Amino acid sequence: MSTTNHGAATLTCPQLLIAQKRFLHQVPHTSSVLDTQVYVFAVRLMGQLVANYDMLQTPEEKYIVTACVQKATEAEKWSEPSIRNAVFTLLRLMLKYKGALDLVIKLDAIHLAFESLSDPSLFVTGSAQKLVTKLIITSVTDHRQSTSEIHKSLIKQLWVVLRSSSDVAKKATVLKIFQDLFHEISNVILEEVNSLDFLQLLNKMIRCDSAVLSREAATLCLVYKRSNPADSSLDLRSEVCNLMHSGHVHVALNLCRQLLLREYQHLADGWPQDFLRQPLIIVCGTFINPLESGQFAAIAKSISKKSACLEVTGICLGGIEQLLQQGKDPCSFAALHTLLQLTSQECQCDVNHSQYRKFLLRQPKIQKAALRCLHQYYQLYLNDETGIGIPDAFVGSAQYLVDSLGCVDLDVTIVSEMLKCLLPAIKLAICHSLLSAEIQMWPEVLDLLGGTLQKRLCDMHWETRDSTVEFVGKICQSCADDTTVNMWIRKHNLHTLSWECVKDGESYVRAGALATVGHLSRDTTIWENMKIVKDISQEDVVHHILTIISTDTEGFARRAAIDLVMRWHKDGNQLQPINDVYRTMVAATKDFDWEVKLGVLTFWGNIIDQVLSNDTLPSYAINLETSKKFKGVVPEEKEFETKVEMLCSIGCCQALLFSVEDYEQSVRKKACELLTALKAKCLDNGLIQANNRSKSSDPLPTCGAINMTTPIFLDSIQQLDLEALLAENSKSCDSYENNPMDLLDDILASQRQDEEDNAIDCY
Amino acid sequence: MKLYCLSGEPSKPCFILKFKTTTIMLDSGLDMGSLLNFLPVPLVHSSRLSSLKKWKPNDYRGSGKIENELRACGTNVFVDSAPEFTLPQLDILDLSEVDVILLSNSYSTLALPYVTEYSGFKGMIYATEPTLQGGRQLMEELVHYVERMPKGSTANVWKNADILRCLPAPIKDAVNPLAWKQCYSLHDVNSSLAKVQMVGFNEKLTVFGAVTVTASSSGYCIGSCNWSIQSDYEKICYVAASSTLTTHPQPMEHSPLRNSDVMIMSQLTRTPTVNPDAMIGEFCMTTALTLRNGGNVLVPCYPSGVTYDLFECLSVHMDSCGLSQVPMFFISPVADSSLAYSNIFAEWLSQGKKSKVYLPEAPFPHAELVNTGRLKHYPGIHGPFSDEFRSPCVMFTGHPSLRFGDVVHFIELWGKSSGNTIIFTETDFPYLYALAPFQPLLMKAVHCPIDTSLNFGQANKLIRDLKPRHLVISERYSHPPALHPHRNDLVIETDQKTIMYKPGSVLNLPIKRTYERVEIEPELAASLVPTEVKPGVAVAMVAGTLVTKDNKHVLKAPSDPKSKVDGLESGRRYYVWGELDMQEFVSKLAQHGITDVKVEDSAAGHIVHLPSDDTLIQIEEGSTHIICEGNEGLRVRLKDILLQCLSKL
Repeated sequence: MSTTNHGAATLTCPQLLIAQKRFLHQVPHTSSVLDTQVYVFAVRLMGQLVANYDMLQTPEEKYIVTACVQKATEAEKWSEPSIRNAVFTLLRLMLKYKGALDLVIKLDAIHLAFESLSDPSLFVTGSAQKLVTKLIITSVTDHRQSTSEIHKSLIKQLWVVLRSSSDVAKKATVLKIFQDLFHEISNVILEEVNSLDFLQLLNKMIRCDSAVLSREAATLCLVYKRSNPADSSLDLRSEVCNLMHSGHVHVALNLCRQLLLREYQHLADGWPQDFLRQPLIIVCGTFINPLESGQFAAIAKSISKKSACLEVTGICLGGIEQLLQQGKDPCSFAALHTLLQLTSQECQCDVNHSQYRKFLLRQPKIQKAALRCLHQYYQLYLNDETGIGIPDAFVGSAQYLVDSLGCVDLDVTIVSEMLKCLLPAIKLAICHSLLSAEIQMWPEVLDLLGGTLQKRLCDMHWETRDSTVEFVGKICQSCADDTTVNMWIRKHNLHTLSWECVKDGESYVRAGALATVGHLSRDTTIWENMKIVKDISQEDVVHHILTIISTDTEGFARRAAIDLVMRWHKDGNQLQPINDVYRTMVAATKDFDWEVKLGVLTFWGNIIDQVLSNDTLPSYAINLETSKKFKGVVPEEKEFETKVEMLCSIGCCQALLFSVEDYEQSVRKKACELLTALKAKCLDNGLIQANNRSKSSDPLPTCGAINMTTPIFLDSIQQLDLEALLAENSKSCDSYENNPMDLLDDILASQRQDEEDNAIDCY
Repeated sequence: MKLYCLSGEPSKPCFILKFKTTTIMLDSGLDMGSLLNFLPVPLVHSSRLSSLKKWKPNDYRGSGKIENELRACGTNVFVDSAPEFTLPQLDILDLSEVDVILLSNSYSTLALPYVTEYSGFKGMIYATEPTLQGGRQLMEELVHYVERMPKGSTANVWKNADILRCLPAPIKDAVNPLAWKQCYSLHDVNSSLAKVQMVGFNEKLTVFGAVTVTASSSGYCIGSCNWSIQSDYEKICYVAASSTLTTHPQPMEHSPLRNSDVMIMSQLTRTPTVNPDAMIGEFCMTTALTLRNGGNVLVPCYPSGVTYDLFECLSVHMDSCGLSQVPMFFISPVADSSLAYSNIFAEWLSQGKKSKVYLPEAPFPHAELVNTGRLKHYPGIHGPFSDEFRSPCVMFTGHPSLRFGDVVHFIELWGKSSGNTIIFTETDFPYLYALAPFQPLLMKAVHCPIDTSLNFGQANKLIRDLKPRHLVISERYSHPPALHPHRNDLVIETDQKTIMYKPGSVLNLPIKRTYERVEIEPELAASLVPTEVKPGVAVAMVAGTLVTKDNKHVLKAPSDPKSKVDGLESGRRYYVWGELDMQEFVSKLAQHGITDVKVEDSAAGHIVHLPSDDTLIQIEEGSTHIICEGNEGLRVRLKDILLQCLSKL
């Protein structure tokens, strides 16, 4: 028996509460035979319960909790991490109730929590940490005499761990507890711990060999400073400088990165970004300010080994990305450009002299981080409408991207990042008219990019083909209005190659290509040119898309094809022959993929909305091109019955009725919703009568033939109790909610199978 | 010990090694670079080629008729004649002296008929079975292409030095065209290959008892090998085309090549700046791109080797791109046998391919491609091919020089459309010069050189691992390639003593033969009485008759019993050895009545002073001097006393 989905059992109604209590009452008494997982379930259930209900109100309830926890802490069960996690969580949640602190002390949970501060399971460590934090805070806020002094003892215990324990993991957890406590009760802690001692200890820990400990200690420094901004004994800038000079560059930079977080920004006045830039300047071999040369020397010394160089560069790039995301320009575009060149084998420019090139060359993590920064830069410049901030190196950086993209043995993730960067780069060039021939380099860059994209659309790796075809789609979506881009797409056959990708062997590529085809088809010039070059008609295109819907082996591709059909239908593109489209969509109602079926139902929903819409086209729109989309769908006569007849004739009604009986709940629900809306309109228009439901044993019409007559359909929806069906299909499938009594009984009964002949499998 | 370097092109090696009493030829590569100076031989009449303008030097005043020999295409001049090949310098020594030829891969066999036929060659030829069959296919294809459309005349006037220097580059740079030879015949091929004896990897073969030769896998192509030539105390390794990459052949073996006295290294990659993996990717991408644009792809190739990998990678990529329906054609006179042989050489293949045989499946996927009709192979464009041909398609056909073979027909056919692409994967010919007689050409030309043989980095690593005492390499490997003069990483850099060779060099290999192995007949060995001179070392006197036969030396008991008596009994001499114990010497002197003895230590040993006899004895390591003022009797006495103190043998 398995007991998954424990956390879903949140019951509040009285009947369910009784059921839960009954179950929990039995658990300690049957614990010897209970499966550990069932016991975990029981403790979690209790945790869920106490989240909303005080279980310490009556002696009986208190007994249930006490017995449950005591049983859980027995050696055999306590060895199970899930039990420990569940118990600590339960106790923490319980602490909001009166008397809970006493109970926790009585159960000796404080000792257990302290022991688990360096548990092998991170979940247990986390829950123990939260429990200790909550205990201290509760003790501070609980003014009763018996427990009000608990926090002092706990803080002292934590302080002892920090000072004398050799367990690094435990010390790191204690540092996290102090971080949480400083948020809440800074003054209380400082009453117990001398701030000078505290800072000295932190200083020592920051410089220790353990990366985790130094990181947590540095974070605690920030938390402390935020809580005690007036404390002049902690000058963060000096601390960062000292760390750098003492060779702890990565810790210093991590501290700087944290200072960029919104919550700590007020502690530093822009100086962290200067520190973050420095290593980048060093690895790129660019100008160094003589006034800061001592610091630069310290950094240079600390990154003389490959691993340190990569770590520090990674932290810098992470920090720069953070700044850029916040809309700040750390003025490191040129350095970033140089760094990217250092990482690239193909680059033959003057960056070869950098001694760090051998460390950085083809390092995917650095390349990706740098590309993410570049992307953020481009986004930043895109948001700047004036274009004044665009650096001179912009075109060079774009050229670097295009050159590197042509490298055959590039990692697929790097290709993807490069394409992500190129999109805003091209937009930027369009926004600021950089594509004109005046900027001589751009036409060459675009030409090279076109050739490279052609190859990438046929790349050995499907991931690259997928990201490239997606890129073409996005370019078309956002920039096709620009004449240069439009011509560029056609010149390099990117539109025809994207169409060819619809026939790709990989379903993700096919799906991506279908989306791109949707974007391409919105631009008449590109779309018509594509059909001419490939010598195909719109009917051929539609037929191919319908073939994908009918025969493609992968759901991704079928879903994308249905999305495309819907888009074309919405945009008023000629979906000819339309009867083939309807026939295919009716057939797709039987698809194996529930998402495909939902897509089909959305299509039918759109059709129903369109057909039954009371809005007529305004007179001035009758002769417009877009009005053609209504041809073949909306008859001249707007009689409602005629409209319903049309829906029946195209197979829409039949498809909906079929879907009502689908084996997927979400599909049934969607079909019910559509039919309910349709039925309501039929009632409004008098096609059917209210409360005229007759019990009929006839099955619903199947999806075999399209020609369902209107009377049969109307009769069918009249027979159907759509409200009830909708209500049923809208219900959650959560078994606990439906029948917790039976479920809980089943859990207990299954543990007594030795005594009973009939074992019941609750799932 | 001498090494004759007969080839001017390190990738087409041909060496002769004189080692002990044997003469061994290492490989027999044929440099086909000369083909590019000739006009292509079309399969059907080409009005364009036949209408090319005749060319002669402006200031030519010679007597020879050159008008019909040269034709101009653009700025290039081509010889309108039957194609000719550059042979190794076979006239350096008498080929009838060659005892054995060791062939390392099928691409290094192509000059074999020139060596073995009509030259008086009487020796053995050793090669693995795939090398033999692959070599046969390459030769047969070559002969077929050349003989299919024979040129009526042979041009020789242009080879005159006076004319040659008037010709434009690159033909003017042709090296010794007078030595170029026309292609051999099928008869010569069969006659030459009939002399080949097939060997397996690690099979030890004795050459006249003097040396043992062993082939070990080199990982370059099916059945390709490196050779180790070993005497009892010397070892020479010949590292030919080798690959440390994982492709279809059995991986390269390192251990048989370790710790040699001399390692001869040749056939390093000719495209050191490109990665074969990347080029395969580029090849597949370009092919798919062309096909998606509705064009045809032409791949000039040899009928084996990398072509198998191309079939495999391309078919997978075409499946992945949804181009499964596009056919691949493989046209070669030996296409059928090449595809068939590759799938029966399972024991020569990589482990992955080998294990497929036990499933049972064909090792190469091209068997399945042929079965499903995706790869169609034909001996030529005539006959059934024309019924099956459809466009767009991928066409694999020879010859990579573009001077003959079916490829000429397809360039003429598809060259006028920019939608088609020709992709060069073979590295034997510079592709731009190969395309020169077809210009102007609208067809796209893409260069994806795929050479899996060792690059410089891999070669340097291999040398560090194998640790030869001396390394022999072409002088071309000692400096960066001409196109990359600053790439100092594209050279062989090693701490080993390196000897460079140039075309035609004769090298004295620095191997000093110190020992020779001699076997002792059991009867004679039984009569020996060894004396232990120090722990674990025993010596014995031996007298016998040394018999040398088939380069094996055997020490036998003397046939004359009298001489035995003389040798072992009456004529017996004793040898003294060991260190003189001074105390024992002094006590012996005392026993013989010489009691006035003073012993002094000197730098070289001891000085014994006998004041009463006015005699001085200088005892040093390896010599003793008795200075006794002419007292011969005393000297003899002292000598005898001293000898009594030494061990005897």
